[in-house]
Amino acid sequence: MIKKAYRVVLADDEVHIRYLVRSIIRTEGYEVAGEANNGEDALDLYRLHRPDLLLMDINLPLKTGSEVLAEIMQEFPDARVVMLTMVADVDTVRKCIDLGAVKYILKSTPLDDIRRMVREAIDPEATKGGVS
Amino acid sequence: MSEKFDFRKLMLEIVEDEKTSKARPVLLTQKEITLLLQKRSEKQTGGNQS
Repeated sequence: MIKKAYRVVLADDEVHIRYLVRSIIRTEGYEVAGEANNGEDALDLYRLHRPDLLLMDINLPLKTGSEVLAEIMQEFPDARVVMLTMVADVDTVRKCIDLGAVKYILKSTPLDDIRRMVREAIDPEATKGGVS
Repeated sequence: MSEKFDFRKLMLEIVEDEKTSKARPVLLTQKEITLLLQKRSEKQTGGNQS
């Protein structure tokens, strides 16, 4: 069976987090279409590449992840955006979920769970039935 | 000899305590966040998710 090469854009201002997420993306067989270290670049890269998934932090310079999420969902209502962050306060989580984030992953989550949630986010049909 | 009870001071302390507790954000675990996401998708599918 031919596996679709999903394209992902990463947005995080921390280099080591981008490195880690990039390795997760690549080992899953997905393509990293672009990387941003601030919110404005994340938005530009999304518009440019129209990736299958945007993995984005909340605390980003220039524009926050939730601001970028709001703009993307308004422009591209079918966008699949995953928040990957240390921000766990209920207001921010609810706001992102209401805006349409497909997943909200805490960076403190074990790596295997992060991998699984990214798989579920990018291809919910393929992971149906295997979700705990 | 008992201390003089200062009701005004007590009320000020209560107000300060309330401010502090309201300012403190409620933090969620990944499990709780996943439950919120599940509730959202159940709402979107009208609760007919199998």
